[in-house]
Amino acid sequence: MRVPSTLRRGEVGFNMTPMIDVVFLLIIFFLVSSHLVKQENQMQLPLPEAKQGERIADDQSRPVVVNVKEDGELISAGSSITPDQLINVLSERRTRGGTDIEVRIRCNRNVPYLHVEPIMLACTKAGIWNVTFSVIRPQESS
Amino acid sequence: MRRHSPFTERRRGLTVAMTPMIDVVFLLLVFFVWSARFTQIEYSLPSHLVAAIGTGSETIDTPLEVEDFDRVVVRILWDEDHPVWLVNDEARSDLAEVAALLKALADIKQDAPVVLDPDAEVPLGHVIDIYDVALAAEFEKIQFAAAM
Repeated sequence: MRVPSTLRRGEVGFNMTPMIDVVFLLIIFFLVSSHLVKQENQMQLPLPEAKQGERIADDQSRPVVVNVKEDGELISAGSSITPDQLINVLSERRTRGGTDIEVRIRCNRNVPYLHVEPIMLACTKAGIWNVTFSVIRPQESS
Repeated sequence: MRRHSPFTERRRGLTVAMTPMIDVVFLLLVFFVWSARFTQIEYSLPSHLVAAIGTGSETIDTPLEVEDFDRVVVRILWDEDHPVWLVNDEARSDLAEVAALLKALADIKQDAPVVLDPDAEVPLGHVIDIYDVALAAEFEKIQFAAAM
C-alpha cells in the first residue's frame, strides 16, 4: 500500500527563463517601435546641402515635419497631404501648442520651388513663422 | 517502501543557458548596426517667415547703389538647366560672385533684409545655396518672397 507522505516536497526552483524572454521581447519591441516612429519623419530624400546648418537639438519640441517628394507630393505624419489640408493641420497644432511651433521642410533638392512655396504660404496662413529646412553638410552628400 | 527524504533530495544543477542570451544580444547588435548605418546626420537651416510677403521683382527698379539700399533682393531665375542670379537687378552667373557681393553688402548694412525671390521652376537646392551664402554673409534677416 502506498502511504501518502507529507515529506515529499516539490522543487522550489525559480525559473527565470520565461521572464527574461518576455523582458527582452519587450525591450526589442520598444526599441523597434521608437525607431519606426523616428523613421516616419526621416524619409530617405536627397536633401539640399548647406554649410550653415545647425545641429538639430534632441530636447526641442517635436516639429511638424513636411516631406516633399521628387514629384512634389507632400507627406506629413506618414500620409499624403495637400497644402489646404496642411493649413488645417497647422492651425490645429497652433491652437493646441501655441505659436512657437516649428515646421521642418524636408525636401528633395531637385524639387522645383513651386512645390515648396505652398508650404510656406500655409505656414503664414496658419500663423506659424518658425520654418526650418533640413539640410546636410556638403561633405556628407557623397 | 521507499521513502523520500528531504535530505537526500536530488538537486538540479545550476547551469546558466547562455544560448538564448547570446541570440538576443546578437539581435540587438545587428539592429543597432543596421539603424546606425542608414542614419544620415541632418542639420537645420532656420528661417523666419514674415507676415508681409510681396513679390521681389516690384521692389527695386534702379541698379544697385551700395550707398543707399533698403533691402537686398535676390532673384533666382532658371535658364534651361542652370540658375542665374539677380542681386538688386544686377545679374550674376556664378554663385561665388553672388557670395562675394552679398558679403560686401552685409559689411555695409548688415541689418538690411535679404529677400529671396526664386522662380517657380528653380530647384530647391539652388534656393538653399543662396540662403546659405546669405547666412554666411551674416545678414540678420533673410526672407522669402511669395505671391499671395
